[in-house]
Amino acid sequence: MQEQPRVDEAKRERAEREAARVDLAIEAFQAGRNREANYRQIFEHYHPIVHRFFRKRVFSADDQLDLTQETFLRVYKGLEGFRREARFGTWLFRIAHNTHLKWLRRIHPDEAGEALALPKSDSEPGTWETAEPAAVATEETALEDMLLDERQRLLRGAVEELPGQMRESTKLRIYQELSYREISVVMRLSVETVKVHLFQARKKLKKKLQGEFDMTI
Amino acid sequence: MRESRIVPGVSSHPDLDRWIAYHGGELLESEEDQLRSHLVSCRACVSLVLDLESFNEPTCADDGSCADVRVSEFETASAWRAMKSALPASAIPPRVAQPRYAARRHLALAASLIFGVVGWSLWSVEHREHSRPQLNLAIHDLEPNRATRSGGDPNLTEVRNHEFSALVMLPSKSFATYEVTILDSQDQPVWGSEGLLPHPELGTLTLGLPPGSLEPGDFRLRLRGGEERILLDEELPITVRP
Repeated sequence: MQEQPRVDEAKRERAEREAARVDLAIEAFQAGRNREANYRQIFEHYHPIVHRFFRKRVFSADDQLDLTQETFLRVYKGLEGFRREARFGTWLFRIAHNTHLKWLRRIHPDEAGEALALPKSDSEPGTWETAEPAAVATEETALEDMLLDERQRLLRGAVEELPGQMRESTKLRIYQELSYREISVVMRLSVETVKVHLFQARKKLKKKLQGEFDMTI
Repeated sequence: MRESRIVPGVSSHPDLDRWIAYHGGELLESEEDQLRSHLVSCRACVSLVLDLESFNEPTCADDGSCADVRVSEFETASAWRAMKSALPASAIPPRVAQPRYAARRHLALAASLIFGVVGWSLWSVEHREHSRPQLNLAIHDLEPNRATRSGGDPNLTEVRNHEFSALVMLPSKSFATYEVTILDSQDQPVWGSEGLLPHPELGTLTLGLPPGSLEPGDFRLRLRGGEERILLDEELPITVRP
């Protein structure tokens, strides 16, 4: 089982201090104190995150910059009315998401009914991709293709027999190649619980598929 | 707790409100299970939820899960400069230069202007027969670890006392305004100014030194930035040759 890196306590404390500074900057901005400097602090903290958001969704670098700026302009205009009992990150995410949606509707008006602007790696629910790449079809690999298909079929079958959250965690690990931390966010579990699920899943799969094929999770 | 709702007939993905509620733990267990089942087979929605997490987490995850696309501090600083120009005019306070040592600063500025004018006049008189517009102005880029356009040691800038020189600085940190002071070898300020604005796009500061404004010798150029307290304090050596 892959080991999760140890938590860097100093890094986490620094992150918490930074988050507290941003909270104070929001409060000061709303109180009308030195707005530019306080807004700049908020901007510098969230700009990388918002820019990353658009880099994953928009191809053109110019559009990425424009949409990022448009998002922050909206944040600036709406910040006075932001209620601080809500999470600022979530509020900002909504603005970024809606900015993206509006842009999509401008360039693809025929898809105006879409309610969710998804990142580029879209896929229809109900279909999941295996972690293994498709083999190139040649005469020499025909047998290998058959073995690969059979292996995948057996693995999928064995995974489907796992119980509840263990099955879901395993699928996220194998088919979407998520890290422990990412699985914990998606599943809303602690990282430790995810590790336990995957450890037990590995044991069960090994036992079920023992002797059939070599397998690593 | 909110009721589950999938946008009917338009998209097979739950809407943003549902994901926000899911991420915030605001749904009933049965609804959570439903959305979790969707996530297991939908990379795009997983990416959305992870993005939502990254907006609320102060830094990237320990295993670098949100570090797939990096944004440099330089890009952020450039973006801020563009952002600032787009903000409503009322957001930007009027520049009020408040030199700490007003009398000395004004004297130093007046002295440099007088030196500049007198020096330029003398230079013009001396070179009247050969006077022509000065092309190929000596430009010295003061930037750590970069070569100057005039060549030589990037950490030591030499200027000619009889030439007009432009010192172009790229501060290592970005601020709204800067304070620049030129100190002589006795650590005495010979010139200084506060509230200097950087180039709106490039972020550089350019200081023009008229001919004769500094006597030959060793000087230090001190660059400071920060609003309420000094957060940038850099010094660059300058040598003035005859």
